[in-house]
Amino acid sequence: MQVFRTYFKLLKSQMVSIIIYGVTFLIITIIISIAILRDKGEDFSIKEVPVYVINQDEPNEFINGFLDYLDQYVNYVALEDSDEARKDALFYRKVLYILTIPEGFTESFLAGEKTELIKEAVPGDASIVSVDSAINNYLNKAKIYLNHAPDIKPEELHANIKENLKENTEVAFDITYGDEDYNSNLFNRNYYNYLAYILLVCLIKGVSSVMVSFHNLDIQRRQNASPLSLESTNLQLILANFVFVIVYLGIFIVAGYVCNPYRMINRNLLLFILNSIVFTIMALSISYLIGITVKSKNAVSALSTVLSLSLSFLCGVFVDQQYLGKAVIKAASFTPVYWYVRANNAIDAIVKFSPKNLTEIIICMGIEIGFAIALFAIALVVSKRKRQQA
Amino acid sequence: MGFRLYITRLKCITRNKENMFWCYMFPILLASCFFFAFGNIMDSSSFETINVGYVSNGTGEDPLLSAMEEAKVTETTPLFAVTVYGREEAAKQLEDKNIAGYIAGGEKPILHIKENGINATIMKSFLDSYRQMMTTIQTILQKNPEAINQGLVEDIMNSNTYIYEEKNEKEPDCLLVFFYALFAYTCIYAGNWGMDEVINIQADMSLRGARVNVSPVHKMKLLLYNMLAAFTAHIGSILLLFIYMNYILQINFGDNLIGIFITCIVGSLAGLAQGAFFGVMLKQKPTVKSAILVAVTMVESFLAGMMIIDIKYIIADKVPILGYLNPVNLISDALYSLYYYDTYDRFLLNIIILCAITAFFGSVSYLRLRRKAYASI
Repeated sequence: MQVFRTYFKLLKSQMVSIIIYGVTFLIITIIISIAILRDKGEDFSIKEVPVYVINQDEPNEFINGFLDYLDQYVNYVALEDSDEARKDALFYRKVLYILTIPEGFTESFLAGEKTELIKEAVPGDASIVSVDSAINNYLNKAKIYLNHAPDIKPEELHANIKENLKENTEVAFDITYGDEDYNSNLFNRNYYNYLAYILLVCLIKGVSSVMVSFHNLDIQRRQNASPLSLESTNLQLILANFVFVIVYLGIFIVAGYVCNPYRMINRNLLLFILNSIVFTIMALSISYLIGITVKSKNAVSALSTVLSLSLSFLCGVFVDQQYLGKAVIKAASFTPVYWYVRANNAIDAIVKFSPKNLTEIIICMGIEIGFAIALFAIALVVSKRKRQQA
Repeated sequence: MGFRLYITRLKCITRNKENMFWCYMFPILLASCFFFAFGNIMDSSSFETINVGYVSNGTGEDPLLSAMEEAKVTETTPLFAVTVYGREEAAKQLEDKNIAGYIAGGEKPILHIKENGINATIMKSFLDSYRQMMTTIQTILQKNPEAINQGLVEDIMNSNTYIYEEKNEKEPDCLLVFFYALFAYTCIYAGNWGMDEVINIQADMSLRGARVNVSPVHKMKLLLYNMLAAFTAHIGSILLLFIYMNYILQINFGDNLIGIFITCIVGSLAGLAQGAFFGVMLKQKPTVKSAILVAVTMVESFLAGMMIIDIKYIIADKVPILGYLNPVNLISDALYSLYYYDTYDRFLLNIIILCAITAFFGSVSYLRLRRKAYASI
């Protein structure tokens, strides 16, 4: 087992960076995954948006009522009254929304004239839309009351609208399993999605660097002249590769289980694990191909960063696939990482196991295996040609 | 003589393929990744009509159903594609993910969904406002039963918007923070080259340093030319990144080109000085030194919001001093102030602090390097 032992001696030189990657990654992933868990639970509660109000109109009953209503959606922030302070506050997100009530707004509004509030907001934040619709809702209702019940008093107006806007739709979750399962799967989905990145980086770093050394032309010539048969050498190399990746993946699977605040072994977890094993085999074949085609170790480390980062960004590892553009998704579907992430998302969504939803997952995994076989076949051809040249 | 030293060093640097890759290609690659991954988040045009099931409560006319069918996002895109199912069929369709949810109609409609998400939120807020309209109608009819003949329903149906958004070109766009931080990171990445230069000039750090020390050329003069060469090669990478981001990815940097170039130049110098500083102060092997420098640069970028945007705001809120001592943050803030503010106060403040930091790193490195002689190495 000389080759087997040599493999791990060579791997040692990469071990420090692989371990540092692994540990840093684990810490960050777990923090993010737990943070997402906490966020997700409050989806239907109202998030209070920090808002600054500039009232240039006379203080009056109508505006008081309006601001009182808005208070349940927003959090009023006090700011220094200067243009600079307001810009700074938006810049540093102390407020997300600045609402200006222009002079004479109440008068024109009550008289039925067209008038508008002025907003200045941080774009791209979903909570802005909720403030907009809260404001429009209130004013639209007020308008209707003014049109159809003209003798209404301001206090009465406010009380009525507030009462109307309290109406709330009941939401029923059609799921047959508890919160625990839901949260556990959610954590696992994020964890296993992020795992794609770290597996790619570290396997390419580890496996490819060692393979580069073994496939050095002089070393290969020396090996061809040695009494050790080619078969035995290759077998030992394959074995060593498998031992390394299985141990490495195993550590992450255990860590993921231990760190999950809702730890439980359910069928979804088993599928996540199966998917990660399939992905690891795919990553191993990428690494193997890189290891025998690339000549220098510096190039390996550059490739490991470039490939893992770009695939992760494009295939929805860091950003959920539903937020990616259509063209990006199309392009991503030509890479195995996309199918891995897609399988994970599908596994997370399964509540009741049925042939139909299992088929989708099996297709995704099948495509990953297809990629693995294709890459490995290319690697074999390359390796054969290299041997003939040696 | 000086020019030849400069040209020779420039050739040396540009032939180091690894360094050239990390400096020239890597930032461009990251910028593209950011662009493709985040570019779509802000784009609302990617809305797709939501498939919804509807379970009727049996009465003939169903105003909720027709309201849902009529709701539109734009003139041509309807908000919902509604299909009427029986109760069990709807549950099955939801299970098979053919619909995002179904609504059990009636006086108090109930929304059935499987998981939270954008679609669920849209469906819920639609139902909320529908129910609010219904109660409003009821309240008004109590007060004025004639209202129904006075166009109440029409009034309810056409809702106005009462908000005028003060649009200026300079929106505080949070995606820009990512790109500016990446740009700043590339500037500070010059540190690796600055570190190389001081390692190559110290006899106890590298063989080349030892060779240079016995040569008749003045050491500080040589260092100056070497640094100049490193600066030339590095500013090229920044300009390339700027051209790529500004003209190809169309990231908005504002119109003040001179301000941007000043930021590039000062940023690159700050990076070189920081690298030189760590190169002189640390006594470890070159590989360890450069690992420490990379780690420092990464932490600085992290604190400037390159990985998680909120970190920047947390620091600005809780420990603002940290923001002012972090060169990556200073560069990205300088770019942001150029883009966002009408005045130059904040831009100048950032640039001045950056210059001060550069001067500090530079002079400490100089003092530690000058007149160093080696009895034995």
